[in-house]
Amino acid sequence: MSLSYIFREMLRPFYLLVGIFLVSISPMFTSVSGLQWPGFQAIGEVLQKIMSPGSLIYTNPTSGVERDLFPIIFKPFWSSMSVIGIALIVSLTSALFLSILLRFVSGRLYKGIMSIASIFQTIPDVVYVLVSQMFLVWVYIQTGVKFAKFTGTGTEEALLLPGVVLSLLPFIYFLKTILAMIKDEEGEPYVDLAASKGLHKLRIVCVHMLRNLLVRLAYQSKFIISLMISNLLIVEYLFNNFGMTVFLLNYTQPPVFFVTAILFFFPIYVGLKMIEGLLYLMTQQEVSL
Amino acid sequence: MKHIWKEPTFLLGFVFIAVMLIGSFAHALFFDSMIPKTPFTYDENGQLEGAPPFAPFDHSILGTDMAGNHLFFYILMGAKYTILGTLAVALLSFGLAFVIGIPLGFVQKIKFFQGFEQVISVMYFIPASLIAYKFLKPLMIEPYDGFPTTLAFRITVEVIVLALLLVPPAAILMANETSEVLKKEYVTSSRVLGGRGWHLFRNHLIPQLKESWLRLLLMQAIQATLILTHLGVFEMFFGGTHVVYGIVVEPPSPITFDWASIIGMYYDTIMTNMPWLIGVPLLFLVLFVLSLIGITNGIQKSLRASKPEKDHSFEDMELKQADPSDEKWFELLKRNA
Repeated sequence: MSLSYIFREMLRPFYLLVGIFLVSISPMFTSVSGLQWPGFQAIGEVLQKIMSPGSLIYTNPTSGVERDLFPIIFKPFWSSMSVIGIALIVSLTSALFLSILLRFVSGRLYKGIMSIASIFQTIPDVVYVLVSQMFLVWVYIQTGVKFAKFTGTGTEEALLLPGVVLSLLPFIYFLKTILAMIKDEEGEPYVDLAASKGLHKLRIVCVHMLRNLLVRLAYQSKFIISLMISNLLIVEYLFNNFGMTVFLLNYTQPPVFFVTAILFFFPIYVGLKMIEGLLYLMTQQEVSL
Repeated sequence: MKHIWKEPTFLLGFVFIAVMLIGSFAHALFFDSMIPKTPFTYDENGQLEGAPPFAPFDHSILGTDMAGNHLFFYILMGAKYTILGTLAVALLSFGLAFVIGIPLGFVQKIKFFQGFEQVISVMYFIPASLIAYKFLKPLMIEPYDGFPTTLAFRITVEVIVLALLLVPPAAILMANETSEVLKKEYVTSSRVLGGRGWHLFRNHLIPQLKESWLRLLLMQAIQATLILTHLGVFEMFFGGTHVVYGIVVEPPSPITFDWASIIGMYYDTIMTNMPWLIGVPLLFLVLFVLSLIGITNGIQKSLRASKPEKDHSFEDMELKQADPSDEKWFELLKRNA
């Protein structure tokens, strides 16, 4: 932990800020007739507005109504965070459960599952969302049972269903990764030792392998988060949820986008950094997430 | 590459894409992209029998929408834009990533590049389709007095923007892979012996990395499909969204009718009992992605099959015919022992 290392780590969020700023001013470079150069003055004005986030207002593009950004912004924030949380919990637990069950299957079935999973992984996420919505409509028409709230209507939003739909793609990814890791861990000496001591297969998996699996899975957390955010955008849009990503999609004023994006991505970034720190404490390995 | 036509996955994917493209262009050339319409059907007595929407196989092969437009011809019309647009984005972004990534792999550890990589890592958090939507919105949504730009211009800009969005991760991946290969021992010794850039590229990088480049090209194509589908759902259709500012409120309609935009156009009908309107374009998108995967797997397999790994002259050579002074003779002895 030298001084330059700390300096480098301190600089990292700054780079991220630059990136978000570039994305937030990007709409200024296009106009109806093509590309344009907005001029430094316009960019400077955006910077000025960002400096006073408390007084930011956002304009509804269809009705033209102006509202204060704060504190309305916290509503979509909690909506998005709970959808992501539900999805993460559902996908991780079900993938862990299923892969522990599948640990006892033959090699042939394992290969089949892996190839099916990798094909399912490449199918666009829109397909999952739309097919699940079509399925729910079909169930409703057939039976008249509405077993989950379908779309949000402003005040009361559906959170559980978007969460479950959002968990589909991470579930496939988790299942594939965990199965491959279990296969990998089986060759380790500690598994042989545990088996030779007469421990039950299930106990070896659940107690001894699981710890290593979770650590190895944590290394993938940045990728999983990026997968989920991209998926969240389409889930929130199609389920009509008033969430962060839809907010970012609809309100194009650069200062509003910048502040909203920081508010949304900063907790996620901090979370990733905490995982990084935990990994360092547990395994003494430096990773950069 | 000789056996490529014998790979079933390649053949299936290729046939699907080729048939869709040929059909689409034939539809455009000979029928002027006309969409047949069945407003009503009558039985033999002239009595009204049915009104749209018709289910698939009911009156036309893929069904019709509420106005009686045949969905099959929309699919056919959009095929060329979907397929060629996706491939253009994928190839352009792959080419750019290639041109940027490989030289970056040769020059390692540059401070500026690391900072650049950090700025780029914002792409992990902000989805590419969100950036593309925000950036292209003024250009793609028709303003009150019509588009001032041509369709070809909008398509070109959209393809370039999407390709540029896909370049950074691919370029970083390529740079990392290149520098991995260049760090290997035999490559370092090749450098010591005087191998320069082009030699290293041709003799070490291409054989090592060609399969991974192929996978990367596939990934770029899948990513392009994903972004185009997202944009279609957000009602920003490929080549621009036609908006009617008339007295009668009409939903925005696509111009090119690529498959993603058909989904976006019919999304409002999801609550009704017409699942084919969204299901059919979804099915075609999935088939398109699957055929891309099939083509890549086929090429990969035939690449592996045609690798000159084994020297077959060993097997043909009989032990007694071999010259004992030949090195191969010892090899044969060892193998037969």
